[in-house]
Amino acid sequence: MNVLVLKPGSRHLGYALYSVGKAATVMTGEVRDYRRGGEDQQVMGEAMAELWEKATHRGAVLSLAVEVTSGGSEFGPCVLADEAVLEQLSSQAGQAPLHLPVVISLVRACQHVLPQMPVILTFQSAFFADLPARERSYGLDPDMAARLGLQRTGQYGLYHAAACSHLVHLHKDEAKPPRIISICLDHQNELAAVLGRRPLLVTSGATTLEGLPGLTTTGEMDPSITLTLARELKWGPEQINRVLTQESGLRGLAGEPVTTLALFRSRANSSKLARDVMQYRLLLACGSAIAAMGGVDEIIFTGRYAEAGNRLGPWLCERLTRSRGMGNVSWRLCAQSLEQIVAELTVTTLAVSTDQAA
Amino acid sequence: MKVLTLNCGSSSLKYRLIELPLESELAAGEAQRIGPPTAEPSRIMYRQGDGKPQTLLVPMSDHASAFAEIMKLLAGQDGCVPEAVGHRLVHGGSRFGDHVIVTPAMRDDFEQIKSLAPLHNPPAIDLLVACQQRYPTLPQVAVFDTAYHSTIPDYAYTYALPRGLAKRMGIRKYGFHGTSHQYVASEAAKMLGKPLSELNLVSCHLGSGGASLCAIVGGQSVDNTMGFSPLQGLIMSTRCGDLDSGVVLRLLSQSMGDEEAVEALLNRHSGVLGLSGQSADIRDVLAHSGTGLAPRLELTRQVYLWRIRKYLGSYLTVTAPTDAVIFTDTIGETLPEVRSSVCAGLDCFGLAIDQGRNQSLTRYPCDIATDGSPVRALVIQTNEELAIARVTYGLLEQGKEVAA
Repeated sequence: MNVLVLKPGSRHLGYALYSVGKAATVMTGEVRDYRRGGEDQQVMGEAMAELWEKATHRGAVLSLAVEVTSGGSEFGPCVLADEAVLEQLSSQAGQAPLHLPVVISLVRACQHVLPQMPVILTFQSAFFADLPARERSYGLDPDMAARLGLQRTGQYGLYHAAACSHLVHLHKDEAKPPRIISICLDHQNELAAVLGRRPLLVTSGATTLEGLPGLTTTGEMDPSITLTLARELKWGPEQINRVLTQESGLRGLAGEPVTTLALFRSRANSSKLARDVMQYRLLLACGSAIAAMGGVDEIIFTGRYAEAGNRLGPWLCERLTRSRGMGNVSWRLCAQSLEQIVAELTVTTLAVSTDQAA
Repeated sequence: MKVLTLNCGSSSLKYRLIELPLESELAAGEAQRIGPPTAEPSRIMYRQGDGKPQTLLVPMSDHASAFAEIMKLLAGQDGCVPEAVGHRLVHGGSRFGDHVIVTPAMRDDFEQIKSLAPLHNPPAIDLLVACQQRYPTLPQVAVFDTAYHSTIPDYAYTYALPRGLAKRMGIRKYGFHGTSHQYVASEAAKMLGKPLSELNLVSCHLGSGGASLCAIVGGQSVDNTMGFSPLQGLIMSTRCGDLDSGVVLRLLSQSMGDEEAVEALLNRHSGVLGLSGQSADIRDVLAHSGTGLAPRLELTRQVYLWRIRKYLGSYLTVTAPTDAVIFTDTIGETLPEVRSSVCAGLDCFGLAIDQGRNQSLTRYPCDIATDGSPVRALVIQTNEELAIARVTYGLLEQGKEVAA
């Protein structure tokens, strides 16, 4: 039985067909320009019908699962998309105006084209719903911040949750929950300090522009730089946003598109600065995470490019153990793909909702 | 050599006259309420040698006229005619990587760095230019807060922006409070009885206005929490510190692209003031601790301390094996609860504070770490004026040697 996982982007619709029985991804790809710049359900419905035909050639599909990267954290990591859920999400659209309206239109298009097929929503930010206020808040008027949705929240909660669950299970016989540094290496890179399953710190912010540099996103930057670009170059918010989200990060540093995995497999001199910056920012973030938890028991790498941890892990551990009070620090990889995590959550959610219906 | 140090605020001018190399203070004071008339008159609060503080009421329309009044005041005091002036400048940008002896040819260069620190550079540069015009034969040195951070390595000063854009715009981390960090680091070396070049330190300059942490390896700055401007990093009195660039973009869109409005919001109405909604001074917030703090005050306290703690962890990692953490400036020197809160539970880095020593601190400098703590915790009073005077004297003496 397969689950078709959908990742709605601003232009393209990423997808992966995951076989729960075989525990393997059987098909991945993207539907290019799936909404032709708008939120028209009919346009998205046509794209979905085509994708559905392709997917069902590879076997029966149990459910659709849509990855939601912003909002909806009150639903937990996973929920069956019914009318009440969609209405609730619509009320939050202003906080993620580029993402949530697209998600809602896509779900409605799926429900129209495939009325019998359950659609599950998975929420990346749910894992961070209980992030402490001291970590969530910026140095801004809290009333204004709440009104505009300007609070720090993670972007890769599903990855972190799966990695930490694995470690909590391994440490189940110990009196205290493990102090975990979970490092997600994906399109954006994100580090979280997690006490068992409870996050205390995350490097990403209200958007994907804070924290570690991503493949094309800038990461932590003096806030006055954005204002300088606006003042000196007369750039508008959209132009600045394009440069900071699409032309910066590891791509900006290396001078060409590069993945975190390829970057750390390479020894090219031209990309040395990108490697050095990324390593250094990770080291800083590890130091913050250790201060947040009062120590560290496990470092785990997850995400699409988790394998870069094979290079980063030993380097980080060597640097961390230079501290006068630090004992041994070890690292490991979590090889679960996002579609696997989402598919497993989907199966569990469907089983629960079937039980409740019965 | 009698060196007059000048430290410009937006409406104030602090000065000290110091005899070098003895490092004895001959006179000191502060011109206050410079500029347009306010509810109270402009005045110079001053003292000479070990004398009592005195006040001179005198109109001062700008920093240049304040400087002229200070010079008149000094001329009336025995043995207080300055032989050199050291100006504190916050931001030297890429043009001034090190402190310099000022020459008339540098005037355009100074004009160009005004906008880099809009709150601090313009009045200090206007004063420097006025001094030069009025006293052309008096040697003057520009001492930059950014200069100490010229040793920050490329991987720490580089933002992940397109390289061409960053180079064209001079966008990089510069770091600030360098004069203070360098001063307390050298004092720490004296306390620990080791050469500065062999010490790894984290310096916490926690002022009532601005604040920054500095990572120091082998006596040299390798990172600072402030960045391209003094806005980045810790929560400060009215500055927001670290902020998601996506949030800045959202604020820009909200204000219809008015970057001056956003700049004012982030520089003058955020930080402790923005969070608390009541006061820009963290001491007012902390004074309510343990008294059932109003939710906004409690949030302010938590966010302020948490941000310091996070950076302390980062820099303890970068400087490992660390010899000492230094606390300095108004908040760092006088508030034991800040020191104990941000250091609590950091045994994993080898840092443990002795609560008795921390609470009962009465003399500076002081080591407040437990006897067994491998990382020492030092409380050292900063003295930026003396640091400026030392740099000024050193550069001018060096210049004489070269000329000879």
